[in-house]
Amino acid sequence: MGQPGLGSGASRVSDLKLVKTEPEPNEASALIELKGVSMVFDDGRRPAWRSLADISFGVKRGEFVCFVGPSGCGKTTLVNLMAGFERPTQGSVAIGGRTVLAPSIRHVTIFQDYGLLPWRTVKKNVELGLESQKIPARERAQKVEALIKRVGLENFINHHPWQLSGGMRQRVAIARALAVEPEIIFMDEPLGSLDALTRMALQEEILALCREKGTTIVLVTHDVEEAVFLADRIIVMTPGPGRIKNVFTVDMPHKRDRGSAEFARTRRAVLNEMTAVV
Amino acid sequence: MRNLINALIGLAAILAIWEGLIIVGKYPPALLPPPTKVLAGFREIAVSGALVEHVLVTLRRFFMGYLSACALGIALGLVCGWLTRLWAVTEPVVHVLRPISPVAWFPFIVMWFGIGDIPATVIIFISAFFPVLLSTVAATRLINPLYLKVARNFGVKQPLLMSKIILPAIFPNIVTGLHLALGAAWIFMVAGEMLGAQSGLGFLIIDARNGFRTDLVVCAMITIGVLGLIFDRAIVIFERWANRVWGVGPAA
Repeated sequence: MGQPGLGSGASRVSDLKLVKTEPEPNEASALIELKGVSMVFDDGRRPAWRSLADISFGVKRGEFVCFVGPSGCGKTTLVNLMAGFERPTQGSVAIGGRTVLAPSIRHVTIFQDYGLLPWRTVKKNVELGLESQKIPARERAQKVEALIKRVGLENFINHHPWQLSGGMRQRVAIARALAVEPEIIFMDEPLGSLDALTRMALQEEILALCREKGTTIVLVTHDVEEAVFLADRIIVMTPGPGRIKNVFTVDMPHKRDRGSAEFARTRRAVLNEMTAVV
Repeated sequence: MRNLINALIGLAAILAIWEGLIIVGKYPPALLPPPTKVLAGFREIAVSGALVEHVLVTLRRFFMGYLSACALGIALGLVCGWLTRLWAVTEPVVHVLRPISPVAWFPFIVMWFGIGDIPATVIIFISAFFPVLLSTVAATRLINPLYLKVARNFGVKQPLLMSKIILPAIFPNIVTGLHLALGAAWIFMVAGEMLGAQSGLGFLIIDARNGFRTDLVVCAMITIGVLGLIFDRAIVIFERWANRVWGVGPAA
């Protein structure tokens, strides 16, 4: 109701072999499971802010899921809930069948502003997650050096974050996340502050690096092209309060050709879905 | 180089005014000793070894008082900044104690500790403690929440959270407090040594006055000023270093 273009968009989508699926909250194979999640921010002073309303959704093991939507649609809140930084006002978030109560080193988040510790060198930043686990120093050093080499920063191993470009910093953050071999990586607008070329290069690296070990990835972005390039499934969200508007399954094989007709059609279909509500 | 030239011009000007005043006003040397006499005084206490002795005593007390104030101020500041409730209780007390000049504690300090090294050290400690405490509390409360998020995510728990995340994260901000404290402590060092010590640069001023050696008073004053300047420059360098190694980069 009141959503013009949805019907026509749907038929076009099916023409494109883009399978439109309903949310599947109770899917048995879901690794991350959200049931009826609502989030209200109420500090008692300002009017309460309804960030998310009744979100139900499942992410399968090994899947690459992208949340797209305009700002204010609650996608960052959603990631914060899944990563355990916040608890939902209503509903439940579970990973592997267990309710998420706190952040875990098994589920690492990569932030838009990298979250690197400025007083630590590249090496020490990548090592952070290994320090709190009981891993011998030599083993740690080997692992860290291999990862830094893997993200192409071997010449910057003893640099501090401020000496690196934005793209290099995000590479450090990715290496730091991979170092603890997480089950899930959450990414909150990880490439949001990078220039277009660096973005594209890093999108390819994220695919190559994170999929090597079959890591499940949940990425939040406002960039539809990024979502189409990376995702197995794209979840379109709408604001006020944040809801899931639609889910697209992207079937194109990797590495996807950004110039292909299918890529353009998929991007347009997702964009139409997003703009239909604004 | 340009700065050095400007500094030399300033120093030459003050010397000229100083000497000029004496020539014009014909003040007796005891009331306003001429530069030449002060220079002679410097030579005298340098040769006798008294200057070095006083300076070393002063430095020892100063660093004992200042460094212990830094250590305690940072430690308590971290705890008070982290435990919101504790700070709500202690903050009013701190704000009542802080405006009391460290010298006002003097009667008690002498009764408790007598005359000697301790009173001056305690006064230096008090004057440095509050700036360090307050800047540490403020910095702890304003820590970038992203660092805490990252720490939680990667399983960094107390006490490592304090030593590996919070302290280094706020250290560049604490250094500003350390700088303020250094200046305050150096100023009150003179008062502490004038009141409660039998040695040191503050005592040298009192002792010289009692012997009507105003030239030596000026010698002590100049020594205090020059050493203060050196410490100030040193901590500025330390601040830059801290920003480079611990912080978000060199200040623009």
